[in-house]
Amino acid sequence: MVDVPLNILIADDNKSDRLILAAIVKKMGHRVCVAEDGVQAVAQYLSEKPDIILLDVMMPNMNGQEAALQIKSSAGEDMVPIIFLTSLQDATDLAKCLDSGGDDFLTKPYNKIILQAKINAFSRMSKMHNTLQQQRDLISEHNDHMVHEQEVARAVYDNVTHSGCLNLPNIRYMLSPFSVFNGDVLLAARKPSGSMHILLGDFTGHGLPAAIGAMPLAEIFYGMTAKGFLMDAILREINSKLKKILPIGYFCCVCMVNLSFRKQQIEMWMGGLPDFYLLRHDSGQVEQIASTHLPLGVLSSQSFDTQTQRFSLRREDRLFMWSDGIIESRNDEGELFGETRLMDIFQRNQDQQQVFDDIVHEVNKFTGDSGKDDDTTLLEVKMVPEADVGEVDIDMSSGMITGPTDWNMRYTLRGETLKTFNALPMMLGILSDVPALHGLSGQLYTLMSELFSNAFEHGVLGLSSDLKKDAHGFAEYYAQREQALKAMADGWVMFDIDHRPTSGGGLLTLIVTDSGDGFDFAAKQVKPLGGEGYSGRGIPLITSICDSLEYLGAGNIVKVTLSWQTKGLEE
Amino acid sequence: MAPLNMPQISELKDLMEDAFADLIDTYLSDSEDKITRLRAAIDSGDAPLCVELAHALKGASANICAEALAGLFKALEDQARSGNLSPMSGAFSELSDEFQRVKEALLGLL
Amino acid sequence: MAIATSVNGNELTVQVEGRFDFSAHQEFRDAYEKTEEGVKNYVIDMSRATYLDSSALGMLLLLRDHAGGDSANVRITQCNQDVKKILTISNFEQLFTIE
Repeated sequence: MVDVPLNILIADDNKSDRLILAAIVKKMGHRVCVAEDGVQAVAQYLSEKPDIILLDVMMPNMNGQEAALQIKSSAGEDMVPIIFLTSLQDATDLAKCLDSGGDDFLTKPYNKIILQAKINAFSRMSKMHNTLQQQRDLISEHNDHMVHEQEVARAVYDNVTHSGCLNLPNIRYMLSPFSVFNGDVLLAARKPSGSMHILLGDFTGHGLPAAIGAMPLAEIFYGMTAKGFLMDAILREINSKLKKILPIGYFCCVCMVNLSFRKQQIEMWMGGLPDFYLLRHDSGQVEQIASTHLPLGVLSSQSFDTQTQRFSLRREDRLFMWSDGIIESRNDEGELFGETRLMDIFQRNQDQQQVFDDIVHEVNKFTGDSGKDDDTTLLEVKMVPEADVGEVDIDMSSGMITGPTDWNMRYTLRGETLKTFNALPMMLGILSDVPALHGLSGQLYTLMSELFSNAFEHGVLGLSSDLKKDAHGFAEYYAQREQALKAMADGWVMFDIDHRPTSGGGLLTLIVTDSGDGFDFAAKQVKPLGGEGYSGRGIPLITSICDSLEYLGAGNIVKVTLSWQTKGLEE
Repeated sequence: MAPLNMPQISELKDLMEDAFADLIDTYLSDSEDKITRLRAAIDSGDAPLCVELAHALKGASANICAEALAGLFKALEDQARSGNLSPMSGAFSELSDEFQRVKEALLGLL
Repeated sequence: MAIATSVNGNELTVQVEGRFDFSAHQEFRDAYEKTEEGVKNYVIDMSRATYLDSSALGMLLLLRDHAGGDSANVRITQCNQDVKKILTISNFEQLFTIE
């Protein structure tokens, strides 16, 4: 007797043969249903859903072969073993039975032992088939469920790691996710000062584990950039966050760029990404920029280094950035795309506008149908006049009608704090509490940061602004700055900020005093808007924002005022 | 040659138990009916019908352990397939005799 | 991909053969976790490694952590050009001795 009785259909027009077969099958412990011809056999199959069918070949109304075809076609994916019953002897005839959809045959006179063995064999096959089918259905159900969950999670992810200002005209990018989630992140945001932060990150692995790390990264990037934090603080924060949350062995290769339209320069921090290319518009030359740091999430905060590289860019100079998915794309033979092919595109291309498209095209052509096995991200950033990218649209705390308008504060930064702490976001926050100053936060940030860097770099550190006139001096300037910063021991910068209401508006007065020796300001006349005086001190920029600017004392004190009217407040 | 393969038929009897008599009855009445129709088909020269009936009788007889009879039906089936029905009448009487022997043997088992 | 280990005194050498990627994960881990006490120095012999990817970099960081983190003594030796390049891009020479 069998463990699980099967339902077996016997279709034979010969009654005595049916009786014998039914007796054998019942003896084995299975259930039997019968049919007397092919038409009945098909009908019985549909109503009884037998596990195995014993089918006579020669039957009236519809022969066994035709019945087999019909049964197999309506069975679809289900396995219905059909054993043909035949007294045919000829090998060709027997083979024909199998060709017409039969799985086996049994010749007359019936042999009980052989029939039993065949039923058992097909029963095992059916069981295995059903198990496979159930498991497949289960997997497919799980997969559907997972895909659905991923889609929902993807929506959340997209909201957090939104593309920021990647839509600006100086940026072109391509992100090709290898799975629903991307191991690559590409973020861009304008700073209150008008500059732009760009971050390209490539997490170890891809898919969900990588995406989870990308969320806090994006939160920190967007949050801190909007508040006016500088690159080093943002990188430090991201590194410490990733170090804390990622398991050992997981990290994020990152390049962060601070692109200043006004200074026409980029400042870069690169950790673990392949060389980037800087394409010079005038000469067509390509400069390679190599990564100088470990990826984020590897080092502890203490050993983390925020040292950046600076490059001055002229208009139309282009920076090309990518994740390693580009050079590590593989073709059908498993060969890597490699840097040589990439450089070739730059070398032979006369039209700089076309380089981006060519890279995309060449990489796709190279990989062909072999499918990508890593996320590939490509980004082109172009230096353009600030006007091309428009105003910064930053939503500072909105909806506040009233706020502090009559107040005064003094804030002094000293020693190590002066070197390392960026107090601007905090002070900008206080200024932005004055309702009318919300809309001016961009200009205020510029104003404060220019005044602060003048006081700190030229005042406290005593660096000469004349150095910044050309590219060479520029590098020299930063080298000197590094040195002076190390040597500095007891400098300070003091902010006196005063805001008072006036009829129909308000007046903001900023006095910044530094511990330096000052300079002979009388010798350098201020020429508002585009003047040449006080070279390099960003003074034209400052005077374009505020109403008045004057140097006091030994030139170590600067006082600016900015007044506003409720109506006709200029943006 | 004995009309029935005795070891096989006794095995079949064991298998069928109480239904054995019913099986014999069914086989005999079914076969007698088919043999009558076969005779008519030979007379009317209906070769395809001859093939069909001879084939069915061959299978059923084999299953009932009547090996010699099954062999005769097979010869008849082959003959009918060739389309030449003329020598079949002679063979048919031999076949009727053999069927009678099988019938007696089967009934003797009950 | 295959991993072979040998111990010489207090030095464990792990030799990586072929592509060093995620498929080596368990085997690489076993290579240093299942060795007896007393191993102080680690050598990753890359002479037969053809390629490594970012998950291999992750595995190296795991080994470094196992070997004592900042006080670990892990040398990566005999890298071919491709392997060297990837280690350089990631600035791993700041964490490992690369020979």
